[in-house]
Amino acid sequence: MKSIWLLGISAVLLIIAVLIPNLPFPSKKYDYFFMVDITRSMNVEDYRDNNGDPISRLEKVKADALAAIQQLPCGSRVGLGVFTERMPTLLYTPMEVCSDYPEIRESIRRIDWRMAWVADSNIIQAFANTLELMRTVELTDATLVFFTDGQEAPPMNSRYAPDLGELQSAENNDQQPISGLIVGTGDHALSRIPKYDEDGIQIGFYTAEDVPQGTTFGLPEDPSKIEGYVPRNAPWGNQSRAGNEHLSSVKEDYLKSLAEPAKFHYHHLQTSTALLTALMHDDFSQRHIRKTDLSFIPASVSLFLLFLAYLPENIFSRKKNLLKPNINERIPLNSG
Amino acid sequence: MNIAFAHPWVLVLLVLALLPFIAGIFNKRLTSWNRLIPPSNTTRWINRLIKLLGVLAFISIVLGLAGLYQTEKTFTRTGTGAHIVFVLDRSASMNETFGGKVPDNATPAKSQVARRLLSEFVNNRPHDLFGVVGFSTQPFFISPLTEHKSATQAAINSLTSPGLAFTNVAKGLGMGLSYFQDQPHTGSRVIVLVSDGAATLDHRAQRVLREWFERYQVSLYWFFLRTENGLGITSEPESARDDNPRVMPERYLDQFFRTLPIPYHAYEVDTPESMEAAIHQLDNLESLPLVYNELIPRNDMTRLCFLTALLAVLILLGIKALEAK
Repeated sequence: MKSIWLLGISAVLLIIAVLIPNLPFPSKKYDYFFMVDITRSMNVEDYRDNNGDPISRLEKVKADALAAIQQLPCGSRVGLGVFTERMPTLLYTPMEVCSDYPEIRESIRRIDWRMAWVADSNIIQAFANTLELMRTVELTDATLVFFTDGQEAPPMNSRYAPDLGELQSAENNDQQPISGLIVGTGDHALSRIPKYDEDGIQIGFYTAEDVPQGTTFGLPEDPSKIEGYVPRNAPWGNQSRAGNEHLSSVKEDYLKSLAEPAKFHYHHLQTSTALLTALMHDDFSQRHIRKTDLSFIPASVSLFLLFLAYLPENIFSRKKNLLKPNINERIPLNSG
Repeated sequence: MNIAFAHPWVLVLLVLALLPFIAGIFNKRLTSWNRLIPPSNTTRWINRLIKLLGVLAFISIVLGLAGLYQTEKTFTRTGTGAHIVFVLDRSASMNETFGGKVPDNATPAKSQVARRLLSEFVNNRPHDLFGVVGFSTQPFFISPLTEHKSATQAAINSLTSPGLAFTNVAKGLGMGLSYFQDQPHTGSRVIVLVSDGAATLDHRAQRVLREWFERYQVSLYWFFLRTENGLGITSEPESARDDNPRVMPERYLDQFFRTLPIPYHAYEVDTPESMEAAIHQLDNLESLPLVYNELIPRNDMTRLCFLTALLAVLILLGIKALEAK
């Protein structure tokens, strides 16, 4: 039956749809602080772009981070920093990803290894300092996303590493510990690190003689294992050491060992969609109350009722078909 | 009028708008003979009107559900203002107070004072475009020339981060000037150099800077945050032996800036108050006619669609109520 009620209720629902105020409704958002490694090893070209051409780790990080930012829900914010040696610096505090997207895009595109003000690469110290920096500039609510390949140059003496667990423990801080994600960049196979001159022109690759192959900082843990150990004159022995420190790959085990005491997640950068999934993990989402427009709910129900009101009757009902013979019966009456 | 949809896929439901042509809202009734109710022009028109109302109701609900909105528009207007690039010193000494001490609650660090005042300045100049460059030993790109004040404020916040290494003024200015490369020449162009030290410029850097300042016609403001008892722009050398760029880099940098063929103002700032005064002067000086874009935010038209649908449905409801029982 075509009931007047369908139209009536539909009209009432539309009145609700027009008048309903924006109601506070919980939704998810994300607050990130991206910290990007701009040391030399990030210039290694061991990723491929869409055309299959080799691109450097830094270019890959920039492209994938931007692609992921584009997919974040509005209201999320992204801040940016870069680090080299052991020193991180803040480029800007988090900006909203929808309204300020052009600025975020431009600034990420312009990240360059030549921004680096010193040349070493001391990942674990930089990581610890980044946590400190976030406390100094009051960004503790943001999720730290730390992009690095984990290449320590020169190799470090693990005896002097900062205690990440202590930095993140609740007793040491007035504030809550910082949550975050370490993103390992690079391939598992070793690659050569490009070498540039003063004007940024590539002049070859680093060779085994160019870089220290082992640490010579501080005191060794167990002197008896070092060949030619002399406490004063040769605390690290008198042998030249061979090694692979001039080649670089992603140091996943090392990065995982950083992530674990700091209670960070670890992700190996491969595609921007996988990065986005890692970024949008539930641990990083923040609930916030947003005024949400709910008028679509009564409006869609009213659309459905209107649809029912117009629906041709003979689609479901068989009873109507039964009426037809009655009509036919009358025909002879008319003709007669 | 530019129109777009938040959820364009909902537009598939527009096929529903064909329903009023196939079926009606009235019950089919049997009559003994169709010719007893002859169609008249009036009934034909009323019938068309009723169908049209149905179509209107469907279309406007679907458009509303698809999130119809007017896209944000930019109007080009002419006012007064400037394109301003802040070139911020991020060297380690910016963490100290004007007295050269470790900052505490009563006396903030130079970088904090600079951040607060620059941020107020940005808020007070609604039509200007701002860009931010940081530099220490190397320059770094922080934010492009933009009218989004929220982005500029976030970029100025970078001053809260501890300083880095040395002061390489030439490279910082070079990056600041590069912001004007692709910009249309309108309004005043300004570089505000905020630094607490200076460095010697080699001949190559001097030549490039001179050429770029001339080409892009950028005026330069130098806010020199002087530490108490430190050397300043106007300090006179005590002896001829001290009169060289290594001992007195500020004096020589100032002299180089004076030779540039552009308006140049130097402010020696040694208290938060004097910095405020310097910024006021900048505010007054830099207002040439400027063509700027005024942004009119997107206009959500969902409710308007639902209102149209409501009117159509109400009329249909009235007609339906008149239906013969």
